[in-house]
Amino acid sequence: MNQDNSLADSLERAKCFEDGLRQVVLGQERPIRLLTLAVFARGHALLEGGVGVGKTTLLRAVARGIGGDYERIEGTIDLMPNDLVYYTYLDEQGRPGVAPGPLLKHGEQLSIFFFNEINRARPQVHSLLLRVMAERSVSAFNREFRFPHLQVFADRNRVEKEETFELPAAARDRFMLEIAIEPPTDAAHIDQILFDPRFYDPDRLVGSAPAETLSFRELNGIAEALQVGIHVSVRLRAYVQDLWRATRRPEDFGIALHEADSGDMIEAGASPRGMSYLVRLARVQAWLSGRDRVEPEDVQYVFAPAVGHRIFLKPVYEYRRAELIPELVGKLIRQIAAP
Amino acid sequence: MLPVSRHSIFLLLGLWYGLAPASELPPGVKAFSFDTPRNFGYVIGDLIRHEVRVEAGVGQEIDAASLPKEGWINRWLMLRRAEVRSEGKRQVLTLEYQTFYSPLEVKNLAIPGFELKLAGSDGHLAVPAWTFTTAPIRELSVLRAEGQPPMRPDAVPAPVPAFGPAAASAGFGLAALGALAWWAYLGPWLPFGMRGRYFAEACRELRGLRGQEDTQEALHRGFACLHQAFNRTLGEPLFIEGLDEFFLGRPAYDALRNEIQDFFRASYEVFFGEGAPVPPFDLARMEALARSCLLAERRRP
Repeated sequence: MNQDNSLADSLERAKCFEDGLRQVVLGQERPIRLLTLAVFARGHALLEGGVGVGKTTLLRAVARGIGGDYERIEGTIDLMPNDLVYYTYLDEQGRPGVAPGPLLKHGEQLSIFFFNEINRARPQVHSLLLRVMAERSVSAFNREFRFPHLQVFADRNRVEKEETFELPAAARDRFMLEIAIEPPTDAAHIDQILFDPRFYDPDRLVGSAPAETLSFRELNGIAEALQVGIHVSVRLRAYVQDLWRATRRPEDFGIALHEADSGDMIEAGASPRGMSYLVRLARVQAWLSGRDRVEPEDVQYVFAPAVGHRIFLKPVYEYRRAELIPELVGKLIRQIAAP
Repeated sequence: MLPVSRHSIFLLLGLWYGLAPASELPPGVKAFSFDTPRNFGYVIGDLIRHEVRVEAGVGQEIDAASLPKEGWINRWLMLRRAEVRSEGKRQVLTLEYQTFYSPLEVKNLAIPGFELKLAGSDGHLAVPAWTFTTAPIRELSVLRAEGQPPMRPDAVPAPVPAFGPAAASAGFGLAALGALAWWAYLGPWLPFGMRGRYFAEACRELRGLRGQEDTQEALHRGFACLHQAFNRTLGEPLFIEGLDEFFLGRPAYDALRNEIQDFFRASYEVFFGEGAPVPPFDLARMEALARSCLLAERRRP
């Protein structure tokens, strides 16, 4: 009963958090909902979109809403893993010194690590992130540092391809969500963004969002409670399993893509970790929709951003990933029956 | 009608007609003659053959455009054939006319003349009109009272062999029927049977469940089979959030809107919730809904 009360209380605060984000970034209802899901499912998220659509502003507003320490790093081609862990300097007396780098200096207080333009960093940096993301820990200075509240947000602009490194499959799989951000389409929103001076200064805009509506220390507890508290029925389990099987062998479910023979199109379907993320996200979505049980629409809502980036195509088709994956995912959702 | 072989004999006897003096011929034309058969003794249906012979310089051929057109020339005269052939240095134009004039008494008729042009010169060769005499085949009235034998009735026409076309028509007709049936099968136009057959199947299955109590298992089966009927009729799974779009595209189901929404809510409760249908939905209500959907599907335009 106590748990129910605390969950209900958290739901109120989650709604406040979402509303705060909506005031800062207009016309991005779905990405905002997905980010909220990631926060409550304790997963990492990768934002993808054009330049200047508000990715960074959105993530800064999320960080402000969660509270805790926030660190940000820009991906560059000469960034090395060590640059995240420590930096060396000469102090005022001219003596060399070594200090903890951006990842370590906040210790356990670190709640959001924001990696800007992640695809500009080298694969070595990606591999350091693998451990940070999967285990929330890193070894440095002969000991292990733990970040129990850490959430990694990364963004990647998809305009340029030069001097960038594609994220390895393992790194992509560790992101719970891959969220596409499109420019807003609603005329009223565009009008506001263009002409309302409130949107001209990003610092003040982020500052106007309510701070610490959620407490980062409580998030792990809430996440755990709601994963236990939201009911998943036998039939829904079967539905998720069907979806999973279909990501690997869509032809078994009578799903064929227009131009491709899906039988030999897929190199690897979604990973078990990915499907577990999917269920976690679906539970959070059900909770945010005010239900105590998961329904198919919750799974469908999070399916594309949670699973799309985990399906790997044969090299021949990989070049046309941007067209094939949305089509495949759309068909999976539309053609697999729940009840 | 005179046989053609006799005709050619008449042609030999025919007159050299309209032989123009050399001085009137256009420049370059050395000889021009118009050969005609006898000009009397024709009856309806006879063929009349004229030949025009022209001897002209090299390259001065008869201009085909100046020939009279084959076909009906006037009400009673038909030009069956007009062709030019070469005979040594000469060009011979053969014209074959057929008269269909049915005179009541002996009568003079004329085949109209025309002008021939030669390629490469402005000169014209006038082919004159030709007059001939035609006569009726018999006296106007042949009466039995005058002691004459009556006219024999017309011969019965020989039957045209019709088996081939009849068989072909039957074959093509069958093929067309088959194609039509296949087309109707593929399309949703068949009034009964194909339309709403998934709901009919659900109806049958629900009727099979009728004897059982509303146990959890029977309810599951009932909900599942009706869901399946919706999914198969739509061609893809129908979820609760897709209902508005479903009703938008199918006004025939409008009367069932509340019932279908209740069904989905109850089924979600059964499959994803506590297990008991809320609002209450038993097998009898499901069967009634399946039947109503079947009728709606058949009513759908």
